[in-house]
Amino acid sequence: MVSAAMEGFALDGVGFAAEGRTLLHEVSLTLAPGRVVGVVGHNGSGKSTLLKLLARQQAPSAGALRLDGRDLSSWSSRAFARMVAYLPQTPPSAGALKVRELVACGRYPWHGALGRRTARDRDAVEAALQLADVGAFADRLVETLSGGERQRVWLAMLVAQEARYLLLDEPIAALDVAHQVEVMALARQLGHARGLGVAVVLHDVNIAARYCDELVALRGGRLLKRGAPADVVTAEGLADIYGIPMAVMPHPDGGWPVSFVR
Amino acid sequence: MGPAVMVLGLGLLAVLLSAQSLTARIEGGSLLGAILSPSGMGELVVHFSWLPRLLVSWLCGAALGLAGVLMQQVLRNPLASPTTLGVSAGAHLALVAATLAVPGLAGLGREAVALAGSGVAAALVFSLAWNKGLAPLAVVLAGLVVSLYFGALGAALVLFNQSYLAGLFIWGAGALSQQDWSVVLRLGPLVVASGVAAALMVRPLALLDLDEAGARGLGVPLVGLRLAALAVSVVLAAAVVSAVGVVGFVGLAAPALATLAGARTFGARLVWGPLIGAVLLWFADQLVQVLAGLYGDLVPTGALTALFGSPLLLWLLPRLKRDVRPPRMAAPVREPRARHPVGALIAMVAALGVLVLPALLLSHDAAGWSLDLSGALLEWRWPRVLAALAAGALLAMAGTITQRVTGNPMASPEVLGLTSGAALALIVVVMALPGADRATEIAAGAAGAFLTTVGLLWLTRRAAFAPDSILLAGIALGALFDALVVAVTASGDPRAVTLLAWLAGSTARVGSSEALTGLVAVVALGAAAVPFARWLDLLPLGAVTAGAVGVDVKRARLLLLVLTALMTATATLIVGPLTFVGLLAPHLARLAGFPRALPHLLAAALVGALVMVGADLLGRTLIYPRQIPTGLLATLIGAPYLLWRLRRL
Amino acid sequence: MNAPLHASLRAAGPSGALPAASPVAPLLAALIVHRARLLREAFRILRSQHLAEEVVEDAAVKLCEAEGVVEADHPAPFLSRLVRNLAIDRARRLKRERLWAGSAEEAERVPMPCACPLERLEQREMVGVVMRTLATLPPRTRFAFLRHRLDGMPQKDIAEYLGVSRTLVNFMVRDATKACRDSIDGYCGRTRAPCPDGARRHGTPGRDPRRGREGVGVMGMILSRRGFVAAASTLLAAPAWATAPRRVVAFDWGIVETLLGLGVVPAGVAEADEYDHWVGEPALPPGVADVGLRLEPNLEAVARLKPDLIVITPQLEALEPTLARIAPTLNLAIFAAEGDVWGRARQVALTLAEATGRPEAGARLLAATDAAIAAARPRVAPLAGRPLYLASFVDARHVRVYGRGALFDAVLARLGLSNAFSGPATFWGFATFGLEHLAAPADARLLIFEPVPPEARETMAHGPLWRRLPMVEAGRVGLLAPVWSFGGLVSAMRFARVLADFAATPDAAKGDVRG
Repeated sequence: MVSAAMEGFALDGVGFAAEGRTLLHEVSLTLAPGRVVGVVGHNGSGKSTLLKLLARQQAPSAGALRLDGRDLSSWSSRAFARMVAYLPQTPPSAGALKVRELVACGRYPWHGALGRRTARDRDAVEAALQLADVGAFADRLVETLSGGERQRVWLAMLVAQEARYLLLDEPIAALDVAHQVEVMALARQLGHARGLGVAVVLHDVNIAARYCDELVALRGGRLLKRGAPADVVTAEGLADIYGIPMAVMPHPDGGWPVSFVR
Repeated sequence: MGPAVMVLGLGLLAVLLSAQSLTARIEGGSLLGAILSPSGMGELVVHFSWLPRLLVSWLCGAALGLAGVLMQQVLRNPLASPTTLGVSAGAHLALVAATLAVPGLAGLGREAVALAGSGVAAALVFSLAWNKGLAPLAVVLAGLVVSLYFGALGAALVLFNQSYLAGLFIWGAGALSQQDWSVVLRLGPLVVASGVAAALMVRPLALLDLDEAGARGLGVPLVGLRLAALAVSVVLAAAVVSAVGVVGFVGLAAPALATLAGARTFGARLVWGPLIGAVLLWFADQLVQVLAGLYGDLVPTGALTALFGSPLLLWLLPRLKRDVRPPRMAAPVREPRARHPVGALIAMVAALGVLVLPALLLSHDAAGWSLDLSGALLEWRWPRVLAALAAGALLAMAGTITQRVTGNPMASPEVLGLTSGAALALIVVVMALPGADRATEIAAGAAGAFLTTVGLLWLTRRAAFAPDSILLAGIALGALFDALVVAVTASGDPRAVTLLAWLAGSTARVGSSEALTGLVAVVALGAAAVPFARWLDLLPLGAVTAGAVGVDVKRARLLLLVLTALMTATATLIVGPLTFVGLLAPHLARLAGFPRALPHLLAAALVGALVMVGADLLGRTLIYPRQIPTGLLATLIGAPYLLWRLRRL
Repeated sequence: MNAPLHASLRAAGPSGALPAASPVAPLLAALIVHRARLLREAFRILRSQHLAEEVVEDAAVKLCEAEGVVEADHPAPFLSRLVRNLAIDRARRLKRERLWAGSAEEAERVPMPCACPLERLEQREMVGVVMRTLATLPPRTRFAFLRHRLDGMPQKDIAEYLGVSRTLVNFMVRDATKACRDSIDGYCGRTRAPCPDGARRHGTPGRDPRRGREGVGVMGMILSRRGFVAAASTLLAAPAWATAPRRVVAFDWGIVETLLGLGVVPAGVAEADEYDHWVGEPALPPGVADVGLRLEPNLEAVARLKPDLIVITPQLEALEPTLARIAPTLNLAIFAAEGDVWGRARQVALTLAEATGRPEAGARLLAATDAAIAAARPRVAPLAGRPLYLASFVDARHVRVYGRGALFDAVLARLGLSNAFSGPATFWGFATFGLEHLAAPADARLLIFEPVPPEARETMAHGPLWRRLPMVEAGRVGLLAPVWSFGGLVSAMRFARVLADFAATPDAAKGDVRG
């Protein structure tokens, strides 16, 4: 049993270098379950790299990465996939798969290559389809859907994976506002109602401020600051992060910070 | 290292070798004298033979390099080259056909015939891809199919007319020897003109580095540009092929080497590619001349370029992954799905059963067609039919797995060089131990295929067996082996000609033990593939996604590659290194609507078996008593259908 | 070895009896007297009792067949010499018949019922009768019978080798045995010869308990090694022929032309239509079946012809076991990596002649070849002054030149001409290279075989390097009529003739005046 103190990701001096360039310098932080963490920063600040390291898509060049107290490399593929689900920045083409089939792919870490598919798997798929609101086109080919609908299908796959941690790399970049809100609301719901640990890389700092429990800001591959949105999203903070003069005002409905460029 | 360093390095070696080959020929004359006013046999030989040959090697190398750079830019694929567009295959076929039909024509207008042939092939490729606006994927696929098809036709003609075509053996392998200046005078202006044309197109072509949408958005006339660039490269390549034969590797390697050496922009590649090509061919040709001595310099140059160009590429391969990311095959293709997959599969099984009957019973002899119900000839037929069935199924399954693992529709056991490795091993055995029996040959081929697999795995281990690396490594290895095969057949040694039939996929020599081995292999290896079905469903989604859901991608690729190698080795040794079924069957199965892994595997195996049994039947009966090798006929049957289906996509 | 036996049979006449007043009777009497000593002498050479006895019998037969009076003042030394020579001959032959060595002991078990040379003659005629009967049997039956009875090869091994069932082999042996028995019965009945131990008809008095497997006297003796060794040796060295196989299938055109040269028309030939075009001489009569490609024969087509003999060359070695299932297969090579191509061509002709039951045709072909060479030699004298290049164009820029190991080279040597090319050549005796290498030696004469490919005609007409080759400049180039370069003796004869015809033309001397 993992103690509450050990739960979550722990990064200790993690760095990543490739092709002669260092993309991340000695980042140390922890990510606990049950919270939605937004990763923000300018282009090239290492946001996606950080997520890839967390998702074990790449190995760190320096430092230690631990999940639930164990070093990341010590987890087996499937065990890790049962813990962590990852959505890349550009999901691949789904060939000629139907929506239901693609979502069912997310069950792999549970039944593996040879295991029988149980009722549990089927229920999980159904639940995921409902949750992501793609049940209506469960039998259509993924490639025939619009961009937004496809993104939701990929999310459904992640949901079906029933992992403890969700890592989403810019999931809303290509969506319209309504869909952006939908996706973020879903992520938040998953984090709070189900107690999952969600890490989202976002470009839009306003969306990040609204939906995330805490923000991690990177600049030039280093951890700049970390804290609640109200603490990070300030005029000085934003100037630090993005390097341009910005101002912040509280949202009339909920009080969370809304920023704009001066 | 910069490209200049590479050119200088190779050039220096070439100069040294040239000095040696010159000295061997000049016999006391002087180079200057040979150039200006030759007298005495030595100077004459240098003037009329050595010098033109030197220039021809420069010109051809530059032409191929230029053609390669243009093609790879337009098609955005480092695997594109004149050979993969069917240019050399078309030229070869035209020459073979012309030599047989109208010998006089071939004598006078040989180059014109070859150019016409390559033009036809290129036009065919373009027309097939026209619907897609000459999109890269479509062109490359069409080019590959056309190349294989024309290659098969040419091989069939050669097989049946060996006595007439001894000359083409030599030419087929790329022989640069000259005896006057005519080739230089023809090729020179052409290369220069093409270079100028390419220079005029530099800017718009450079924009092709962007996406389609990006380039179009910038006002680049995509279709026209692509057409123009490809036309220039086809003309160049055709001219080279008709002048000196097939020198295949340079068009592929020179642009790749230029990029690897540091020519980043298109403009830089346009300059350095041809230069590297020229130096490469110069070096190879001089090496041939020096090695062979005065006699027997018919180690074809075209074979030699692959012999050292290929290892060079393999050595630089690990750097390829980092320095250059080959553009992913864009354009997701809309694929159909069968409404009743199980029903369709059952129908295919039934079709196979029905086809086996005439395969066993139908006879065509001097007396005409008949059904041989007495069973007297059954002992000769059932091994062939069973072997064809087994080999077709095995190769189809291997091809399915390869295509799914690499996510590249061009992947197949042949492309990965497995069949070439097996073929090479067999050639070594046949030439070194003329009395070797079947068992020895089989063992040798197995060793060859396995060594190739091991080599592939070792070469790509750092890239986690990533698909592009594997393909490129496979192509390089395949080119290496093919070169050796060609070198052997070009020697004119009739023992080598024996190999032609096997290389073309003849089932005529199959014995009962091999047929049964094949059957056992199909059942055993097919069953072994079933547990991997889920991996095969997930891997086409890409390493990222598959890894994200918990597939140990490295291990999965390794295991699947080994399985593929086993299947390929068995099939190759039964019926030779077939060139098409492993590529064709998975496509056809997919086009028939079986996208999920397990049905795809089954359907592909059935398609492969159907095609091969049908080919065996037709090959045995069509032109009795001559037999068309099964593999060859499978290509001839299957390719048009595949081309037709590709159009409709 | 057959010859003396047949000769003796013929000399002895159908009844097997020798007239008592023959001039050799005293020698025969002396032989009987000195038999023991002669046996010892023979034994010293042959180290085998039964072989020594056979040699002594042979001596007796030789005496019987001697015509005219044999002077023998001292019969003993004469007989010694005779026996010694025969023993030495036999010892030599035995070295060749290695496979018999092991089973010689078996034959010891079967006794010699009678030491009398005259009876041996009779028994030998019976052997001849049996041999003739065996000859009428199907080849596989004969093969199975001989292998089983004489080699003791188990039937299951025979079945495996032939690719048939054991039962079938059993039947084959049984049928053959019965046929032999019947023929002996017939012979004894016809000639009223006393059948020692008798066939079944005359009963079987007094069996020798030392008899071997067969148990029945005559059959046992005849089927013993002794009875068969001499007569059967040719039969068994080349599997199972006693008469000419009627249907021969051959693939390599060199073999085909040799067969035609021996007067044998094959039942099936590979690429029959192409043969007429490329080899042409001797012509293939119509009605010969086409059995597929030379290097990829159609097994069904071959099987359909039900041949008695299949002849292959080493290129098809891998197919030998498969072809052997259809019919006994002979693997002959004219061209090989080493050795003397001329000798091999001759040997192939002789082997084919023997295998098709026409040994005299083989000797005739050899003689004809020698005669053709001899006839051509004076006629090619005009060419003798210079080394000759023999070449054919493969395309506009390359030539194939024939050197060591090519049949043409061997013919040149025998015609007293010298080959200008002495570089390395392939297995088949040629080398391919670019034109420019024909530059040296400068004083050679270049002979080009037709047909010349059209693009090469261009070269010959206009090619600048070609025109400046010393040979070409001097005009020492000639065209020869086409000859198949991978053939045998027939092609050799044709080549000699073609060369001689060319030598008679004015072209042959062209360029000689200028030197």
